[in-house]
Amino acid sequence: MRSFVIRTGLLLAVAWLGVAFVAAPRLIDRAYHGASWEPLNQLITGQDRFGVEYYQRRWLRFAAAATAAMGAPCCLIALTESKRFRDWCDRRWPPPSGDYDVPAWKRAAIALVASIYVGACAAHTLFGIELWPASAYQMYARLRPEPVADYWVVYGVTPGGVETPLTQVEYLHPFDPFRAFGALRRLWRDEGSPDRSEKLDAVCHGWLRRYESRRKARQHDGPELGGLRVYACSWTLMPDAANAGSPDERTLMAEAFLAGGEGKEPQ
Amino acid sequence: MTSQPGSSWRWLTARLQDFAFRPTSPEQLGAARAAYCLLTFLFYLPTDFSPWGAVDPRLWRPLPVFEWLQLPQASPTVLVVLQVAWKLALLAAAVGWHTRVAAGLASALAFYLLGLTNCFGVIGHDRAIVGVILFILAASRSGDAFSLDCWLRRGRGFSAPTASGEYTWPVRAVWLLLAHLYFSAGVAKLSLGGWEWVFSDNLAYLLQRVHYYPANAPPWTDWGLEAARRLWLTRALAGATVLLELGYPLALVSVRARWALIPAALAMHLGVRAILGPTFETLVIAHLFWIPWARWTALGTNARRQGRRRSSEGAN
Repeated sequence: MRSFVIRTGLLLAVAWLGVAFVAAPRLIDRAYHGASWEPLNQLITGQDRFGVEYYQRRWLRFAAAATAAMGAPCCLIALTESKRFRDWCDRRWPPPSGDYDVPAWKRAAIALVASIYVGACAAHTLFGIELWPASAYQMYARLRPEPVADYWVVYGVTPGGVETPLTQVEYLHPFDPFRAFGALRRLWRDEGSPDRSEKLDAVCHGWLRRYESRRKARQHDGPELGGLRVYACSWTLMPDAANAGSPDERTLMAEAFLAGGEGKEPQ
Repeated sequence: MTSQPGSSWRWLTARLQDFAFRPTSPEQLGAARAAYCLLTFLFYLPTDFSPWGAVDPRLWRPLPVFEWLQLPQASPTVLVVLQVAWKLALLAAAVGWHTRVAAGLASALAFYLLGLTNCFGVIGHDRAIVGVILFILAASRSGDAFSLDCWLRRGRGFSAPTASGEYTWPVRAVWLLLAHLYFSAGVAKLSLGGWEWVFSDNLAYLLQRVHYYPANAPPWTDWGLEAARRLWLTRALAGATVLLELGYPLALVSVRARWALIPAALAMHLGVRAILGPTFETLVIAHLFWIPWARWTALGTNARRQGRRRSSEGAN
């Protein structure tokens, strides 16, 4: 029985590795070019936006995470099967007393809640579903090995027409500059409608009014503004960041002006 | 070398149960609760959540959990009421007044208030841990030491609680939460970035990029730019980060590893704040659960007893 389980497990593992890392990428390639089974072909619809490598990379990331998720418990069980390992643990830590005053139902409930939490975190890793507060904690995990930066920067326009980037945390309160960038870009991406530019303009108008009312209430010390512009900026990184104030490219994404401030050209 | 089928599973579950439920004194949990809730209260005291109620609803991108529970974007007035209730609940949980009710209320309000700030296009991950820890404190007997509840009970003639597994699992749960968080962060770096996350110029460019546009806070220094000029240094920092994150779970089982890993994690957060910018205060505060409070309080109690004994001997 024991050797049957081990052999079956090994066979399944080899089969999974073969399917996940050899067969599936080829299948994705065929489906991408419309040369696979029709149901698979229909799964890939973004040929005009993404290359085949994008889909293969996403699959391989999923396959690696799934392999780790399945493999880690198997490795743990294999390790605990070793008597030497268990003896080593028993020498290192006091043996379990087995006499616990926490009721069994409560121990089971705690284990269940902990498992659900870990499962929700794994869902983020495997399927990209963000089940906050559970998370895969992917802070700064994505690779960007090119010396470039691109952000949406909010610029204030003074009554004299001078543009100044609003990088202080207090200016767009409660948004910090990064959250402001994320919120605007998300609105732009999510909205497929042709009026998304108007929506961005309307959001900027609200920010501008709030900026001015907070400035008048002396809640920040920013300059007086008559308008607000949002640019998609890109830079080539320099070692001393000397070009931080002058992006290589700027594309106007949204703008808003207080009454009477329209039409001023930036200097 | 091998054993009976199923025995390894029994051995593993027995070990896990012992880790989580071996009886300990209530002081460890009580002191950690009081310190954690107090620092969280002080940290969030100046934070005003009410402006989130006035954010343009066109930017509203609710978290899945907000969608399922149909939680709306509350008005600024409602948010003022909620945040006052939250901060009072945190304070009550810190001093241990109706501890479990206060921690439960603080947990629910933390989920809403901190979750709300993530419903506008950008999700911050570090603050999620606050609601989870408060939930653990609410679900456990965290008010049996270092609390007004305990003091009042003793005044009514109840005896002090003895060691129990009820005081062990909440502390271990927070340890596991932290270990899982750091380990996941390490795994994410390797699964999304691969070895290139360490061995490419990725970190050097990241350190430069924050000087073009900051994260949630600008870095304290421009040392990041200096470090970015030395690729060996940024690769060493990236390697150390991944190693530390992947190795963090060792702190669960080894006291020696704990003495190295926990200060290293705190130093990492300090370094990140100094050269990269992002603030992870909530994670730093959660490390209070690693402090062996019970040992310190026992030392204090022994010192007081010895002092009393000496003074009574002197009087005699």
